[in-house]
Amino acid sequence: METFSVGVEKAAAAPTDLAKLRKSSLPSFYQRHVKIHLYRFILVLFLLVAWQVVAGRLIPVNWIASPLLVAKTAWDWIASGILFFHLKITFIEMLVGSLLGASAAIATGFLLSSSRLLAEALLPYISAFYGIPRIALAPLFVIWFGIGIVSKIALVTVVVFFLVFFNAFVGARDVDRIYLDTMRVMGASKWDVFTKVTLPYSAGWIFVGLKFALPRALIAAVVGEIISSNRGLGYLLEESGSMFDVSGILVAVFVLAILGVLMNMALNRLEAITNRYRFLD
Amino acid sequence: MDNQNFDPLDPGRLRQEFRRQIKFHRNLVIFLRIGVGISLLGLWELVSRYLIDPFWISRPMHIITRLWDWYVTGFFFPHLGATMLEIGVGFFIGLALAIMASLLLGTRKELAQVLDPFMMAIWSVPGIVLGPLFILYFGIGFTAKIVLVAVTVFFLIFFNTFNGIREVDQEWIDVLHIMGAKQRSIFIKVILPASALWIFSSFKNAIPYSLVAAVVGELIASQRGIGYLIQDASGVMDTTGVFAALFNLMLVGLFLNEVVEQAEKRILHWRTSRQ
Amino acid sequence: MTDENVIEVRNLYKWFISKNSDVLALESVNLDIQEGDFVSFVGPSGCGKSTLLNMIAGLQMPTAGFIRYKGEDVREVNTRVGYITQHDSIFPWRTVEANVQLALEIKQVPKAKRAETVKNMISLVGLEGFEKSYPSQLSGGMRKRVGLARTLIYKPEALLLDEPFGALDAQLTLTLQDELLRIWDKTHTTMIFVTHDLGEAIALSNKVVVFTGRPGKIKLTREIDIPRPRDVFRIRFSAKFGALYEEIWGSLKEEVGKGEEL
Repeated sequence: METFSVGVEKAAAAPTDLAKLRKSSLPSFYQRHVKIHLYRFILVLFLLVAWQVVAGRLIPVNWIASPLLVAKTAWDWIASGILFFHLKITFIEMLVGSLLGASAAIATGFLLSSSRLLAEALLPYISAFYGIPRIALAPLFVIWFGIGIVSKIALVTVVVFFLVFFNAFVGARDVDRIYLDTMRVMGASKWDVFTKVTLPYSAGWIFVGLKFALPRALIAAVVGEIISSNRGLGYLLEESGSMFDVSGILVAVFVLAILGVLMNMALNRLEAITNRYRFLD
Repeated sequence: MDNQNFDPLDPGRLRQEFRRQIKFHRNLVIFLRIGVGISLLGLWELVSRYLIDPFWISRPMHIITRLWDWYVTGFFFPHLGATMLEIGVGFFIGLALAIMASLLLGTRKELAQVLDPFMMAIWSVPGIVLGPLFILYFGIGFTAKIVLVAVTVFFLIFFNTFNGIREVDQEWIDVLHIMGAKQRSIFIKVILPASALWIFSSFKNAIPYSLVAAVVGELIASQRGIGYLIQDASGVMDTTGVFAALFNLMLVGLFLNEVVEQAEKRILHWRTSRQ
Repeated sequence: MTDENVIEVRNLYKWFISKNSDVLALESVNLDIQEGDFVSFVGPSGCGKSTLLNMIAGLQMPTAGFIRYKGEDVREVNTRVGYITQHDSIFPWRTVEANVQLALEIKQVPKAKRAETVKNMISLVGLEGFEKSYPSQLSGGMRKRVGLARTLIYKPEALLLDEPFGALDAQLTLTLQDELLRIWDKTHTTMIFVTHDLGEAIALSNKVVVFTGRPGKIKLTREIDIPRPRDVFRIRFSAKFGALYEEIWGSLKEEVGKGEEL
């Protein structure tokens, strides 16, 4: 009996010790986590306050704007619908251009992958073209299409094309021999091989290319607008610049940053979902 | 195989056949390459004579003439120099700052963690978009472009290196700690070599991007540079001028790629013996 | 079982010529395989067994000599055989179901008829419940079974298997061997089975062909007269098995000793 009660006491003591142990380790992790967020919050607060204070007093407002000014400009743009109007234009340029560029890239990539000889023959020319920064073509497109939306769509198309083409080409060309052999022994036609093997296999590669290309499509559209246009997010940026309105530039940059982050998040999510289909490991 | 003189145990004839095929293929490729080039130029020339006005697509002969003109009169070279200057100076400034910043911040684990989301946010904004801002600050001279290149290069190299250093195996550092090494030697023996590798691999990306940044800066506003030539020609609807400038840009791009590749070969040469 | 030769290999040589080397993979190979045979090729690594299989399938061509399939020269891909490869070749982007029905799609079997056949085949290889799974979600053994199902579904006249159970653990291998024999007992499809495991060869086949190391020549052909149906789980304990193993191993061992790994 006594041993038993001592045992019970001991048993009762044990869990409390364990709990204490757990508690003593938990706070330090928890603490660190909270501490980091706290630091971040303080940092942001400090920067904003410092910025606000410095603006107008140490450095003229013209040069660096201020948090309040930026907020005001942002509010003005949103309320008056200016932001959404120009954002829409940029989006259209980006989406239409991406669609055109990706389709052309996939078609060309597949075409070229079917003839090793042709691909080798064209290689130096392709490399040469890859050496030109695509954005440098913007002025050419302005001559051809004016400063409207079409020249930006053209620019985005070209940018996306170059980024996706290589992937489509390599994806189609490097289909694992073993899949091709399997199909051949089963008596598959060339069309079968293309639709059942080449297409799905290279889809993975193409997706990677798209993931890389889409953010750059947005940048291309904006930079094209900066260089010359009368509409779009880039136009807003450039206009603000020429009017010495730094807050305008910052709002545009900020919007661009948010879009970039959102796009990357969405693409990463999409990649995680489609990974299952890709490779056997 | 139906001729009987063929000795199946002797690969000589097969080898000959193989060599012949390789040679044939090689020659065919060269022939095709030259052929494609000539046909495309010829086609261009014809189309510009009979189908589409050279105002829109220019003409090979015109472009060649313009290029010749540019080179012979020396008109082109100051512009080439301007762009190269912007790239060169901007690159080195960006590189230096990136190295300093990543070494400084990468080793302070806590600081790095705190700054992480900010880094991500800044990373999402491409440097070139800040072009108008810098031109606002620094005018349309070299400075704005140099700053633009420097900023672009900085973010590329810093971001990669920063993350790279952070991932330096904590184990290595712990092991050295246990061995009694001081912070300084850990730094030299582990962090420096690891970061050097990261820095170099982001080099490869940074150099083409510096060209892009310099050209974009010039396209926005400048008085000198290859980008300026493009923009200027475009402004007066001078398609030939645009093509001529683009051609030179292509040469510069190829040159820079070659430089990077050669540098990589040298460094890799050292690396493979190390591995 | 008729006595016709399904596959005839005569005076076969295969050279691989590349920039830096000339390799003679197979030398003077002569072989007859009859309808309904279950033949195993054994030999050290690199002795050309897989190459020979490829040539029977028409994926590669001989340098000298010829291969006849049912009297016709094999000059292009032989679509009358089924080929099960050593390494996974099922499509990662298709479900188990979709992979299995691949051949039916290619042969343009109408959709309505496919479903039933696919269902039967999936249960034959024991993968019920996994129809909608993707290869990345399956174990190695299950993927092998999908490969098996995919090839058997269109009932090829002959089956070429290149070390199909090579990468699997012993227990799983026995299970799959058992299934293979079950299937063979029902269909008596001509089978050519490449393996480096002599025990497996003797357990499954009625004829074992031993190849030398590179260049591959046929060293020995031995009929396996162990009666069927066979129990793969217990066959290794039979005296007959032991005797055959001893006999053939003697031959094989010399080849392995020549420096090639088994």
